[in-house]
Amino acid sequence: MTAIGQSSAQYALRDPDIRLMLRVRADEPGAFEQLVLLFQQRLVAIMKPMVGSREEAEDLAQEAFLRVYKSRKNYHPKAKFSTWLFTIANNLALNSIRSKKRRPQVSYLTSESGQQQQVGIDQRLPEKQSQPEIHLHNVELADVIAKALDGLNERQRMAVVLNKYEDMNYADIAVVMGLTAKAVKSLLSRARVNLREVLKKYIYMDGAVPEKYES
Amino acid sequence: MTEPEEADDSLEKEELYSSYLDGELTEEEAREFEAKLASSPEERANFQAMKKTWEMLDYLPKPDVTMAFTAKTMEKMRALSNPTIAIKEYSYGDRRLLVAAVLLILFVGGFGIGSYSLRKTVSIEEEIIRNFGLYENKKIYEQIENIEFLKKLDAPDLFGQDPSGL
Repeated sequence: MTAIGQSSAQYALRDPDIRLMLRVRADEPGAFEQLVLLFQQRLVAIMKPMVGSREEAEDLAQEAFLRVYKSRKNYHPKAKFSTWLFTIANNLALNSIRSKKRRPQVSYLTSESGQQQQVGIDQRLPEKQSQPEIHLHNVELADVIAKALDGLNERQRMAVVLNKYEDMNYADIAVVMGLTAKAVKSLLSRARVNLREVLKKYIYMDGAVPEKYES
Repeated sequence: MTEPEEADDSLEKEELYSSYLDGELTEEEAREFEAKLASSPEERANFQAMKKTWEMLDYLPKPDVTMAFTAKTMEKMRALSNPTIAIKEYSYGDRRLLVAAVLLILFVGGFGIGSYSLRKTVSIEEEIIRNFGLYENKKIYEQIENIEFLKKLDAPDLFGQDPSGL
């Protein structure tokens, strides 16, 4: 984790989330519930693309909150509170993914007939269509995007989620993921290239493809 | 230009697109990049594709969190503070642990009952061997009314040696 000087620590103390966490540390009634209400949506939103299922995302988010609670007495603000919370979330998500990899599972998709089919990662996207102007409903589009994200490796996925949905800069993502800012830059660039490859047939649904675009 | 050099150039270009989109370039770097885009329709189209891909991620809905989630988290927190409070609802992981614990209890219980029955069978057999003489003469002993009668039979003057020596 990046070393933070005294002035940064003082700045961090002005963070309202840190002040709330300090109230949790002091066992102030209602403070922990306030913290859960404030961050639960964001935490589940980070976990969901990482682990896939909503139930597991909620379980992991809950575990992250309980870890915060258990370690409240040792909490000393050194950075933004959300950075600390997302570091816990990142570790939990990666551990969960790794433990699933140790117990290999086959991915199943339910077909229209309701039967489950065994599929590979590259087969998870909808059938290729000849026309780029494909009209998909938002739900179907969300499904396509979720599967495209699922095709990224877990570190690229976490970097994308933190950057896109939490609007975090490279330096903060680096702290959460225990990497350098340069490594985050590289992760995000590769993730974007991979996503563009998978989603290229959907990106110009709403308009003409630029003349020189290399499809 | 050799292939690895082309790949490096491409990687650098993609990183530049990415950094520009994330607002991670300095003002000067951003100006240079914008000038390059303005002069190259090909670069502009590639950059536009990357930008649109990123915008597509906005279609991914954020999952709603229910009040049940908050309640469950608070309940678990209270259980942590006071371990005597039982957790009413179990997570997927908890449920698996619970099933494993029940199976373990059944296994240990079954093993205990089995070994107790075996020990009981062995002890009955040992008792039969120890008192084999008693069981063998059970029919004779049943004809004896009581222990006093048996003691009288054992008296030396009843079946003792004849004093005359005959």
